[in-house]
Amino acid sequence: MNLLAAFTIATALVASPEDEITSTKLAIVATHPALASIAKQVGGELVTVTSICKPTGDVHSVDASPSVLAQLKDAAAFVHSGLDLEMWSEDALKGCGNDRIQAGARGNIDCSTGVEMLNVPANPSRADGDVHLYGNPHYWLDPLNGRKIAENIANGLSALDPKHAADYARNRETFDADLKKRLIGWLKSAIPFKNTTIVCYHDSFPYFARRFGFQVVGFVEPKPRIPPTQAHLASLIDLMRDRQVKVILREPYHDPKATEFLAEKTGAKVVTVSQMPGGLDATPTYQDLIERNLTAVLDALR
Amino acid sequence: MSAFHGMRRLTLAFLAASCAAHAQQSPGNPPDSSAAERAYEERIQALEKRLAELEAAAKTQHEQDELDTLLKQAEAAGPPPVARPSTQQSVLNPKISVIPDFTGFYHKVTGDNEVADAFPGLFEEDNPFDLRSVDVEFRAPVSPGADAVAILGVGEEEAAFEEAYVVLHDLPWDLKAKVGRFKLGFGRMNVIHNHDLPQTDRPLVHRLVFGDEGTSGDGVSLSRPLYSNDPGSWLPTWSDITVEVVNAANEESPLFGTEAHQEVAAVARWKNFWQIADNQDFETGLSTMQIGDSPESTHGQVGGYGLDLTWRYKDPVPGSFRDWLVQAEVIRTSVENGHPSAKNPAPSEDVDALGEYLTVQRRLDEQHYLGVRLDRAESPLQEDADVFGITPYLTWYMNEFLRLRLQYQYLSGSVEHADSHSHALGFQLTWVFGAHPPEPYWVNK
Repeated sequence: MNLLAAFTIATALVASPEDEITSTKLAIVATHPALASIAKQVGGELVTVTSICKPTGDVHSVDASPSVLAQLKDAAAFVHSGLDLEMWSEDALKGCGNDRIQAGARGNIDCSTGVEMLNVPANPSRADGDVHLYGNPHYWLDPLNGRKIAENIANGLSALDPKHAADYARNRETFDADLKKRLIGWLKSAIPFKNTTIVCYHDSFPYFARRFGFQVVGFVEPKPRIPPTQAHLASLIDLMRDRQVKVILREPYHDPKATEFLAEKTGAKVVTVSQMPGGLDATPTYQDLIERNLTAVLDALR
Repeated sequence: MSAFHGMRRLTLAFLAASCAAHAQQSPGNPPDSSAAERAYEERIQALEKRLAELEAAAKTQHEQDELDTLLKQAEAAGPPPVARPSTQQSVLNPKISVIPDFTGFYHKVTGDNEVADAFPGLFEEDNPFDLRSVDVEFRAPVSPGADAVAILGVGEEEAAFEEAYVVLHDLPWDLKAKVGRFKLGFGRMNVIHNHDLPQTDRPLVHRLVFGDEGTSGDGVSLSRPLYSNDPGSWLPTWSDITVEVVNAANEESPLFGTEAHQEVAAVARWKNFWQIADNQDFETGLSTMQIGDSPESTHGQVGGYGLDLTWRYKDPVPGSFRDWLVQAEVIRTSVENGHPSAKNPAPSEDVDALGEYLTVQRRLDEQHYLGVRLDRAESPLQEDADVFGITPYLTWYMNEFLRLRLQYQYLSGSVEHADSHSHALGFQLTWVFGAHPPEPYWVNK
C-alpha cells in the first residue's frame, strides 16, 4: 500500500505539465487588455482570459510582482506583443516556473508574427530616448493588424488545443468579418480628414495615424519617454501653428499640464485616447476602442 | 446588390410559373403531382441557396474592393512599412550593461574614535567625490534550461566578480537552482546591488551584518514556489522558499570567517506576498542564517534571523504614477565567543544584537521619489555599541538609464560613554550603458 502511495505521489510530482491540458477552459494570460480582448473573441467559450497590464496602465512599465507570477503559473497560453515592449515579462516568465509558456513553447503566442513594423531605427541609440530596437511596438492600434493578431492567436490556440481548431477558426472569422465591416465605415468617415496634421504626446499612434490618413508632425515628448522641456514646447508651438495642427493626442496617464499649455497657446483641442480597451469609458472591446479613439479625433477635427 | 435581388425575384417567379404549368399538364395523376411538387420545392430551395451564396460572394467581393480602395487611399498618406532588421549577427552575444555609480558627499564627523572603531566606515570623513564602482553585467541563456549572469564590480582597489552564476530553471518539482557566486538571499536588501538601492547606502543593520556592498557567497541556492492563490484571498497570492549553502569564508561580511576552511553558511528565506487589491500589496519575508565556526575567525558560530515587511499602495487614480512604499526590516544576530587564537587570544562574551530600519517613500510622479529612512542598529560584534540614523532623500529618474539622487544622512553612534555624530550631504549619479534589464519589483527604486 505504501509502495502504491509512493508511486502515485511520484507520478503526480513528475507528471509533465503538458499532460495537464484537459478539456476544461484554456487559461490565457495576455500582457495587455487589447490582446486580451482579441483573445477573448477568438477563444470564445473555450477560454478564460486575464490581462496583466490594467486598462489605464502603461504597458512599458508593468510592475512584475509575485501576483503576476501567480497569474502565469498555471496559464496554458501567454499572449504578448513580442518585440521589446514588454521587457518586464522576461523575469516574470522565468520566475513563474511554467514551462508551457516560455519563449519557444507552444503556449507562448507572439502576436507580432507577420506584422510589418513602422519606425525601425537604423542606428538605435539612447540619445534618441527610449527607443524600440525592432520598430514601434504599438501595432495593434491599426485594425488591420488587429486581424493579424487574431490570426496569430487562433493559430496558437489551435496548436495548443487541436480538438477545437475549427471553433477558433470560426471565432476568428467572425471577429475578422466584424472588424472588416467596421473598418470600411471608419475609413469612409476619415476620408474628409486625410492628411490632417496632429501632434501626439508619445509615439504610440503611428499605426493608427497611418491607417486613417493622419500625419503626426510632432510629439509633446522631445524624445520617447523624455518629459517635455519649455524649449521643446516653445518649438512645438511654432510647429503646430505653422502646420495648422488642430488636435493633440494624449493618453490617460500622461501629464495633462503640457498638453493643456499647448492647447491654450495654439487653439488645438486635446483629445484623450487610449491604447487599451477599458482605458476610456464605453470601450469594453478592441473594436470599441478603435471606434472611440477615431470618433474622438474626428469630432475634434470637425 | 439590387440587381441580384431583381434576378432572384425573376428566377423564383419563373420557377413558380414552371411549377404551375407542369401541374396543369398532368391533371389526372395526383400522387405523381405531389412528388413533383416536392422535387420542384427542393430545386427552388437549392437555387435559393445558390443565389444566397452568389449574393454573399458578391457582397464580400464588393466589400473587399471597397476596403482595398480605402486602404490604398489611407496608405498614400503614411510612410511605407519598414522590414525588421536582422539581428542574426549579435543575437547569441550576452546582453551587456556597464553601470558607473558616482557620488559626491560633504562629510562632517565629530566625536570619539572609539565609536568609529566600533562601526567601521560609518564615522569617517571620506573624499568628497568617489567613483564608487563600475559594474559590468553580462546576461545570456547558455542552454535551453539555463541562464547565466556575471557581474564584475570594478572598484578603486580591485576588480572582482560580485556575482557569477547559472540559473537552472528546468528542474523537476518547480525547483530552480542557482550555482556559482551570488548575493545571499537574506532579507530584502542584501540581494540588491549598490547601484540599484533605493537610497545611496544600505540600511545600517545591513552594513553592519553584510558589509557596505552586501555579501555574496560561492555555493548553491535552491528555490521553489510553495503555493499561489487568487488575489484578494486572505491566503498569500504567492509564496516561495529559498535555501542556500555557501562557503563560510567571506571577506565582505564581518560575521563570516576570512580564511579558507571547510565550514559552510546556510541561508533560507520564506516569502509571502499578498495582492490585497489592484492598487496595493503586502509582502513578508522570514530569513535565517547560520554561519559555521571558523577556526581562524575572531568569533565562533553566528546565527541570524530576520523579518521584513513591505507595503505598497498606488493612488487609485487611473493612470497615476503616485504610490507609497513602507518597508521595515528587523534583524537579530547572535555571535558566539570564538576560540582562543593568535588573532584573538581572549575571546569576548557572546554578543546578541538587534537592528532595524523603516523606509517611507512617496513616488511623486513618473520620475521623482521622495523618502526617508530611519535606522537603529547595535553592533553585532561589540556589546553596548549602537547607532541611530535618519536619511531623507530625493531621487530623480531622468529616464531608466540616468538617475540623480540627493541625500542627507545624520548618524549618531555611541559606545558605552563615548558618542560620535556624522552629517553627510551629497548626491549620487548612476548611469547605464547598454541593455540593463528592467528592475524587479523588489528594487523599490
